Amino acid sequence: MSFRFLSPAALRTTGYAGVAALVAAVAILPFFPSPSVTYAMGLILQIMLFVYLAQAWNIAGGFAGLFSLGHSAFFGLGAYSYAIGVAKYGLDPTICFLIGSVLAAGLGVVTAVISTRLSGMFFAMVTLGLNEILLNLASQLTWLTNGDAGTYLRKQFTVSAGTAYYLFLALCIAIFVLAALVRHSKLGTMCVAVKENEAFARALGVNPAPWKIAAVVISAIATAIGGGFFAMYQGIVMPTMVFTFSISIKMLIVTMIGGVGTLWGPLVGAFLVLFDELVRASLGATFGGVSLIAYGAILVFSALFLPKGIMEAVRRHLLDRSARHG
Amino acid sequence: MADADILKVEGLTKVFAGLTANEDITFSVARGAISGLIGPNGAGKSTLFKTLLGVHRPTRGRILLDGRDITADSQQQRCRQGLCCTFQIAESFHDLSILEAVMVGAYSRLSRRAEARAAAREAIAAVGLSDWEDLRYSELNAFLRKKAELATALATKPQLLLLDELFAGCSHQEIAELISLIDGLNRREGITFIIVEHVLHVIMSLCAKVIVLESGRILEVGSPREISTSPAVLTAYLGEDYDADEHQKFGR
Repeated sequence: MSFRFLSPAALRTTGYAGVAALVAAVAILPFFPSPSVTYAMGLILQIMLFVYLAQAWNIAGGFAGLFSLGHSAFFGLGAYSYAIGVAKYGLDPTICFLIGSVLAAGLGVVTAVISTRLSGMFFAMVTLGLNEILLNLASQLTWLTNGDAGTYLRKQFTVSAGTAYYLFLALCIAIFVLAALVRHSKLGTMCVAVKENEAFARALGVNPAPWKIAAVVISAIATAIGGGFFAMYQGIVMPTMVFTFSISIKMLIVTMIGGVGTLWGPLVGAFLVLFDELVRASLGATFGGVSLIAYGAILVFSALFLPKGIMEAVRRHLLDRSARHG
Repeated sequence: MADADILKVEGLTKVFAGLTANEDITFSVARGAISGLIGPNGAGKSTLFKTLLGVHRPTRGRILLDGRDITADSQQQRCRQGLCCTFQIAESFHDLSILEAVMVGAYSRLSRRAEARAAAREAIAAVGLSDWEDLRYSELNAFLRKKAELATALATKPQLLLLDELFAGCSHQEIAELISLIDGLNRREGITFIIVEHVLHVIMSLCAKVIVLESGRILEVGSPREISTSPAVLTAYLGEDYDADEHQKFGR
């Protein structure tokens, strides 16, 4: 391989160039309209949604190690705030996003405070429970949410697939910039330090709570904003569509396969969504549930051979190379 | 303010669910001194260490740092006042680069990233790890890890640094290097050290004063020479055939 002769700095530049090329390719794709491009755009939109959500999860779950299984709670809050706000109360969309962000931030603070008391699995169980509460509230509070029938959005409050495509491209770029800023700030260093060795971090004068809260609040708001835009292009929000475990788990798995706590993990892990969609498209009609089987197989494979994700494996590989070649 | 003793411990007692781990511990540490804390396993060294750091709240007694009562202070407050430590098992932050791990220490007193990075580089240079600053903690060998953890603690600019078995598992040559490192930090930066250690010749060659714990109480306080000839200490810890001269080989 040619990159063995590259220095780490040159490698990094190559990586950035690759990402820039990818973004450019995604951005110009809609200018070549054809049926297959329309199909690809639908696929890419799905991928971008989960790359965005996975990176939002990664800020709390990866950097700060707060292993949430209930991030769909923030997603649903954002989606419902937008849908109910514009459809029922005729609020300005910006106000709706603001309400969604505030609600998600509030729930985020609660979650983060809980995380300072509980760790690991117990924290995960709590986040799961919080999402379950919201799911049932959304389906029971029919005067507000219209229950299981869902809240529909009139056409002027939705966006076309083409607009959504660019919206989510912009969101993806924004969340990677945000994640990079967080990771390289004091907040990022403190979060990772507390995650890796809380006792030593405390001895070094770190008070974990404010950093955890900040990470979760940023993650929650980003997820809620994603939920709002999701509602915007779906045109309908139903309880089981947003407050669903499958969204939480997908955010987590995409990040895990790519590399939890790494900056580029959520992007690398997105191939999983692509794979999932392709398998479903090609075999879904004849073989129900095939994508779940494929998902499971990938998970087993990655747990066995890439326990720390693809980015970590790549890093190891490059490190060995540079050690061997000087 | 400018007390001769940087640390005063008065009547410190720690009881865990009926088990008295430390009982009526009273001692003081002079500013700029290197003191040793020794004792057999289960003597209460770790409890005392953690109570000083603020991990445990004492059941009774007071801790004064620089003449100020810190008994009720949090770990963060203690660190800001110049108290820091390294832990027995040097684990630090395994997936951070050395530079970023040391920056965690620097961030305890600095907020800006550029300042923290500069301070971290300084601390890394002080222990001689500058060539390794981009590597991760988990990619270093055990000896370099100890140095990295020491650098992290140094980045907080401590006045009083507690070292918990820093020398455990090091070769003779590595021990000699760490001793001269700590000696230098003590002389140049004026850092006061308390060393919890089982490697006795470290204690004997570095410390001016040794505190011996046994069964949660102070058995003896004195110079290394006094300690190594005290009948009580020989029986409880060192062993009656202990040869003090053999353990002076790393003289400062």
